[in-house]
This record gives sequence, C-alpha cells and structure tokens, in this order.
Amino acid sequence: MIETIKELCNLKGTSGWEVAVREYIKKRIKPFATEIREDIMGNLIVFKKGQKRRNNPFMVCAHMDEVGLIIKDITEEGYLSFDFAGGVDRRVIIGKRVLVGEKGIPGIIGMKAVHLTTKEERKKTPKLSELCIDIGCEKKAAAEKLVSLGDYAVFDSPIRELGENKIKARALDDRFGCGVMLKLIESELSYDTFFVFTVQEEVGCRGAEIAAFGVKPDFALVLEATTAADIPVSEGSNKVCVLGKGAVIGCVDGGAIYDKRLFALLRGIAEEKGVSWQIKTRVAGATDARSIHVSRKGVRTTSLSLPTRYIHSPSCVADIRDMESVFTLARELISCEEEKLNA
Amino acid sequence: MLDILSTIEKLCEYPSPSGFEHSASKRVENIMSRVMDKVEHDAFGNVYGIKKCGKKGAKCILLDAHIDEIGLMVTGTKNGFLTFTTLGGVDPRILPATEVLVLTNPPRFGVITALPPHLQSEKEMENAFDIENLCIDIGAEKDEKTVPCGTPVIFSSGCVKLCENYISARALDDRGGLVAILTAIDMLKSKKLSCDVVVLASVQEEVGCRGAKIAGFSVNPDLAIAVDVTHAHTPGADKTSTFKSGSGVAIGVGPNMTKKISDALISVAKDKKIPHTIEVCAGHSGTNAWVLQTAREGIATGLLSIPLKYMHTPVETVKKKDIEATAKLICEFLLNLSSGGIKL
Amino acid sequence: MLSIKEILDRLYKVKSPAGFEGDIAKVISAIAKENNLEYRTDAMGNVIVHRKGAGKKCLIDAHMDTIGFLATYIDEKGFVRFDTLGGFDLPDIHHVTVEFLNGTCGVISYEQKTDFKDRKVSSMFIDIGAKSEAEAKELILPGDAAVYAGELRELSNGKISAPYLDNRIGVAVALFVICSLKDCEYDVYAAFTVQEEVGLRGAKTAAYGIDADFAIVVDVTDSCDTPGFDGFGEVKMSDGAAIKIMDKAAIAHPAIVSALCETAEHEKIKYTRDIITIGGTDAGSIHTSRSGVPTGGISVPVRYIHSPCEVADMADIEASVKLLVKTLENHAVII
Repeated sequence: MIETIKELCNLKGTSGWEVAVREYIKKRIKPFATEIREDIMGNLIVFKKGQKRRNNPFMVCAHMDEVGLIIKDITEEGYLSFDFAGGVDRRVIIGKRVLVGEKGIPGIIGMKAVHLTTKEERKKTPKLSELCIDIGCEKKAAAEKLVSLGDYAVFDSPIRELGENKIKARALDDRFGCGVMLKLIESELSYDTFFVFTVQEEVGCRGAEIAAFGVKPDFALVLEATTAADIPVSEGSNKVCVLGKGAVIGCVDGGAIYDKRLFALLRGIAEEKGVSWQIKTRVAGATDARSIHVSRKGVRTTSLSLPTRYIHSPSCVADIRDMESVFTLARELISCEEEKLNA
Repeated sequence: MLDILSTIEKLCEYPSPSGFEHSASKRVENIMSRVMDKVEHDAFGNVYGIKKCGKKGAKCILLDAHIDEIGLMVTGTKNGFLTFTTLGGVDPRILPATEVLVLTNPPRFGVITALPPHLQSEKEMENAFDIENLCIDIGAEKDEKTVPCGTPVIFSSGCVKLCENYISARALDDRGGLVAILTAIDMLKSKKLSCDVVVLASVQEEVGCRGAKIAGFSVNPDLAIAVDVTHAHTPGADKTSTFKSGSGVAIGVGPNMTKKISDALISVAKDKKIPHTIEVCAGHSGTNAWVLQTAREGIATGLLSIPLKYMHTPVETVKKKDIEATAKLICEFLLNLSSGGIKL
Repeated sequence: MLSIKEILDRLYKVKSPAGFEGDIAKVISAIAKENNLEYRTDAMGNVIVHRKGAGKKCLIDAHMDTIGFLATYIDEKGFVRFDTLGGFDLPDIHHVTVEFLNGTCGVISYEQKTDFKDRKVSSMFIDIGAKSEAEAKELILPGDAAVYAGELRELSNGKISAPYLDNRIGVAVALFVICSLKDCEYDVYAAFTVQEEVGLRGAKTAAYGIDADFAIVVDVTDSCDTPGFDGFGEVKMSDGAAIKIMDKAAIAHPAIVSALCETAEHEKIKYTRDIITIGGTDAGSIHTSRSGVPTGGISVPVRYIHSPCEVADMADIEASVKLLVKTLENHAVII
C-alpha cells in the first residue's frame, strides 16, 4: 500500500486536472473492479461485488485532486503570475520549485533577495501578486510558447523517508486515501461496495456532491488526510491531531458533524482490534463528507483520516503506522454486517 | 571544454555551510587538480590551485570565489524537533515547509515546520513566521541525542535547468563564481601566461569574508580578483541596484576596487566585446574583495560579479551566458596581462 | 601555587574598564612572576605569559578588560554625563553604584522626565555628590573611567556573584592553567588581552605577535536557565564547561571542538555545546590572524552577563580548568 501511495503522490493532479491520477487508478483496478464508470466531472465510480449483497449501499470515497497553482497571467518579462487552486498558505511556497503544465516545465518561486529587503518587509508575507513563477523565459512571447493561461502547476517535491516511520511527499492529501481504496479494491470483500475517487475536493468538495447524488448510498466512509499541527509552537488542543497516534475517526470538523453511531462503531472496532485512533482536538478543515452527508435525503457518513503535518505545502509529512491504522479500520468497517451498521 | 552545468551539479552534491566546508573542499581539490598544476589546502579548508608560469619573479594573480553556502545550525531539541539558528544571511520567510539536510553522519533529511492554513486566519498569514517559532522535523519521536547541538544544516534542493539556459540551484552564490574561474583556466589551457595564477576557493565568506582574509595573507598576491554574484533583476526589486540576467559580467567600481584594475577590466571587456555592465559599490562591496584589498600591505583588487536571481534562497538562479561572459573576461584579462597590455 | 579563588580575589582588588587595563596587567604579571613564567606587555597593553615547550605553539586567550563608563561632560551642578565602554542593557544600569579608577564613587540615575522606553545613555548621569562643576572636577575629569562598584560574594551551593565575572573568570582560568600545567609539550602562551568589550581589539595584535598554531579562548557565556527563558540554548549553569561551537565572530575550528569534546568525554568532565547568537569573543580576531589560526573556546556559563551582579558556579570554573589542562596535557589538539 505504501508503495502505491508513493506512486500516486508522484502523479500530477491539481483540482480540475485529475486526469493522470484517474488514468493510473483505472489501470490498476481494472482486473479487480466489477464496474467502472466516469461521471461528467471526472469522478471515478467503481463498484465491486463482495461475497454478500448489501441492501443499504455503502460508499467509500477519497479525492484524487491536490492543491496547486494555476497560471493567471504571463508578464512582459516572461514571469508567470498565479493563483492557488485550493487553500495554500503563501508563506510555504517561497523558494520552492514547481512543475508547470502537463509537460512539467521546471519553474521556481523566488523572492527578492534578503539583502534588498528592509526589516519591516521581512516581517510581512509578500502578497500573492508579488510572487511569480520563473521558468527562465525572458519575454512574454517565449513563455507563451510553453505555457498557456489556465495551466496548472504542482510542487516539485520528491518523496522521501523521514525518520523511521514517516514519509514526506507532495500530495499525500489525498493520494493516501486513493491508495487505501486501491488496496481495498484489490482485496476480497465481504460485501458489495462502491468506491468513488472524487475530483475537486480542494476547491469545495464539488466532485463528491454529484457522486453521492449518483451513487445514492446509505452509508459513506471518507478517507482523507487531515491537518496535524503537532509541532513545538502548538500546545494542547492546538495540535489538532498527532502523528503516530493512529487513525483520526471523524467526529466534528468544519464541514460535517459525523454520524454518531458509526463513530461509536469505529471506536469499538479500534478498541477491540487494538488499532490506535484519535479524534481531532480542534474543529478545523473539512472533507468530502461536507457534501456527502447532506446528499439527497441524507447519508450516514463517517471518516477516517491520516494526520498530516504541513498539509497543503510542498512537503507533507505523515506516519506509515497511521496509514496502516486507517486501512485496518476501513477494511473492518466495510466488512460489518448491516445490523451492526444500523445498530 | 569544462561543462558549466555538470560542474555546478558536481559541486552541488557536496554540502558546504560556512565553517563546515571540509567535504566540499575535498571535492573542489579534486576538480581543480584537473586544471591546475598543484592543489593545496589550509587548516580552514581554503583550497588553493596553483599554476606557475615558470618565469622568475613573475607576478602572482589570485582569483577568488567562495565555496561556502548559507545554512542553518542546530541549537537543541524540543519534543523531537530541532531548534536552529542561521549560518549567514537567511530570510526567515523562505523557511516554512522547506526541505533541509541535517549534516549528521549519515545526513538526515528534514522539513522545516509550518502551521496548516486551516488553523490560521488570512490576517495571521500576512505576517511572516518568527524564526524562533520554526523547528526542523526529522521524523523523530522524541528528543534524540543523535543530532548534537552545533550540527550544520543546508537546504536540500539540488540543481534544475530552466528555459533559455537558466540554471537554478542552491549555493550558486558562489559556485557560479568558482565555475567561471575554472572555465577561464580551462580556456587558457593551451595558452602561455607570464604570470602565476592561484585559484582560491575560499571558506566562510557568508559569515564575514573570513577565509579570504587569511588566504590573502598567505598568498600575498600582486593582484586579487574576487569573483562573486550580484543581484539580478527580479520582480519587486529596485532596478537601479540590480542587473539584468543575460547582461553579462558586472565589473565592480568604487573604493573597494583598485581603480586601474577596474579600468583595465572594463577596457578588456570593451575590446573583446564581452557583455558587461558596471557595478558601482560606494563602500563595502559585500564580497571577499573587501578583505583581500587590505591583506598585508594591501593588494590591488578587482571584482567581477555574476547576476543572480533570488540570492540566499534554495532556488538561486543564474543564466549560463553570464557565467560564460565572466569566464571569458577573466581569460582575456589574464592574456592581456601576460602580453604586457596591463602593468601591475 | 594560588588557588582559583585566591587568583580571583587578587583580580577583584583592581579595576579594568576597556582601555584602562594597566592595573590588572600588573596583577597578572606579578602572578606570572611568582610562578617563574616569562611575561611581556605589547604596545596595546596585552600581557603575554609564556610557558616554553618544544611542541606546537598554543595560545590561550582571556580578555582582561571589562565594560565600564567614561565621564564625558560635567554640568554646572556637578552631575557627570557619561558614555559607555562596551555593550550594556540599559535596565541594568538604572540606579547602580559606580566607582571611578581613583576611588570616587557615584550613582547612576536618569532625567526624571524621561519615560523608561525613551531612556538613552544621553538622558542618564552619574551623581558623585558634588554640588558644582568645580567641585566635581576636583574629584574626576572628563575622560576618567568608572566601573560597577561591587565585590565578589559567595552565594549558596558554590555559586559566586560579582560584577565582571566576564571575564575575571576567564583570566583566572587561563592564569591558573598556565601556572599549573605539568606534562605539556605545547609551547603555551597565555594572552590576557585588552579592549575585547569594544571590538576584540587587543586579541588582534596579540594573535599576530604570537603567531600560534592553534588557540583556545576562555570567556563566559550566557546560562540559559533563568525564569522566563524560552529561547534555545543547551548551556546551563552547573552543567560544566561550555565548549564553543560558534559565536557571532567565529565558527570554532572542528579540530579544536573535537579535541575538547573528546577530552571531556575521556576525562569525564561535564560539558555542553555553546552557540552564541548575540556577541562575539576574541576568537573572532584570533582565527583570522595572519594565515589563520584554528581556534576554539571554553566558556563558563554566567547568568546576567554585563549586569552588576553576574552569577557563576565555582564547579563550572573547576570543570573548565580541568578541561583545558587535560586537553593540553593529553596533546589532544591535532592540527
């Protein structure tokens, strides 16, 4: 699974431009899926038959897109102005490398040299309009030959091991979730299950909205990467969640109050199987659950998330043991008989 | 012909934060030994490549570029994270989420901490993080003794080619300068000089030109030329104090540079049609030229600078053409000197 | 042979603000003479003590000057305006007693109308009790220097307190070590330098004159263990000698750092690693002297540096002495 997640993280897939991720997933699941279809926005909807039928359909979902940059303008001097696709703190992109467009043209986001700044300037984050991508072109015309307005750019950040149990990668949010789903699809399932790889989560959980409408599930499980701020500047609840302390079971976040019964069920499974788990200690962030749980007449929705440091930056860091915890709990949950889900 | 890009790539493989240049020094010795007659080093890691012309009483020309790079230094641990201070001038705004290499043996990869945007208001994001609030995440579970206080750290970025022959890498300040010098020496391979040349790869420039100070004393040359980088035009920077990338070599003029040397460099550049600009430094040039000029009884000093974008970030960017122009000027200047066109 | 404490007691009998180190130079010279060591004074006023050896030339450096005050102007009411010699934190000098070299005492105060945050040295003055300019000028003249009044006191647990532990401690350690070295082949020079507090000036000429193969600077460093301290820093009082990694003026040479650390490990001497991000030491001048002198340092943790009541632990001083002696006697420095 870890290797799959790494491969997925290497793919480029900013919100609205998930094609590479989708094609990869399609190829991988073809031998294992019962039915694969793609909807109008590009969500990949996969049905896999299990040993038993479910009367109340269960949908597992993870998003394919990642935060990134979108080219808005090309200056006379050949620099690329950009905006963010998804929420990015502009403080984490300065001095970083990006890959622009499908061809992956290398570019960098520089900043005026420290020697040329005042003390006051150094205290302020540059405005987005003051930052740009430098691909080396000196004239607008030259840059226009390589880049079109609306092209996407992703961070150029290779995957690395960090310490004994952690990895650093660009798009762990949410290729991690995609990786867990691939692994589930590739295994034998007890029950029929829908798996949805969604688009455009980072710009407002938009893919999940139509996917949930189309699949009409009674239950949904969202697999996500979530904000961890367990760094020395954060104390107590401000850490939100902690790497290495297990899967985050959805309780309340900025987008949804998760189903209480599924929460209790997951907690019970975790305790019984000795899988470490935690909840988020701040109401922050949101997942596709935001759209799913209010779909049609309502969907009982829960989530399992991976604590991720420096999320939405070029260098997300997460713990491999937490990934395993999420996988185990996800597998157990979708193997639960209906009475248990409805208990 | 020495290949500029691959030489930069080779140099970039070796970390050399100020004060900890030893592994890079060895690498530089190795590279230099291919083009110089003799290579030596001192206790601080300054590397001296020597090329004698064989004439008695020949003048000695020192060509300097520094090999140290800015970095960070570990000052302690905090719940498994590393606290740090800076080595050289680092803008704290480039640090959040930057990838670094902690130079233990073997080195450890790390990421500088940042808070997720979900927990911060737009207002909070307008203020840069205080450097005191940033740490290095090495993936450790708790405080380990494996990274002692005082361990140096560098940015982990390598080298990348951009369009139109731009090269982006960390520490092009001043590996770009060293590569220009080596390229010049390479151009002179088959030429006969009537002066001795010492190529100095100096240490600890970023913390106060310390390596060049002692090297200037040791070598005691008749002429020293510092080859460093200067600011290239970038968005937001004042155009009057920066140089356009692609405009060639910037020749230093001002009290830090001996006037007849500046004049000679400018006239050679004009004669040989080498793209160049004039960089006026009213006082301290901010380069090793400052300390070389006052070594021992004083040394005739010149300064050549290569326009560099985004200085002191992990993505310093230079145009290959500017390195070539710098190399060409060094080469032509030495030839002119040898033919008696310029008198020292 | 004097003990460290006895050396300190003798050093505390004299004053030595930067630029006015003559009296302490005499005390140091006298102690060197009592121990049959050669000594000389250079043009800047540095005292250089020599213990001959056949091996590499080693320089032990300790600055003997202190921060202080310089009378610059006396007003018609007899109040003395002053400037500082070296770096001060202004809050440290509100209402402290000072003593001029000739023994005249005074207290520092400030113009009543100035807000605390607006206070500068120029809004402060020394009250020496004189009631007119003429009367004041009988006691002192502009250009005279003063220091904090205060003596060496013992606190509990082996701690000591006094002004100017920076760098009386370093002087005492260096002097004690050069007097007590036994089996050491290094050709050891101890330089007691002037004017460190105003820009590492004495060490510059001392290092040039001695032309050593390597150098070890003995000074003090901030102890990062007092209430409210939330910065980084491994150095803490009572944790032994602090081995210099870096200060603002120098990065310690790796060969010296490893010689000191390995000696400390081997001899089981307590130590920490010291990074100073504000302020430099004589190492800055020494290591860039001539063709370069590999330089490191041993510092003694001190609380409230540059205040009238610095605090240190005798045990850290002893550890520093032992570390320096063992490093030199084991010939641990490999250059």
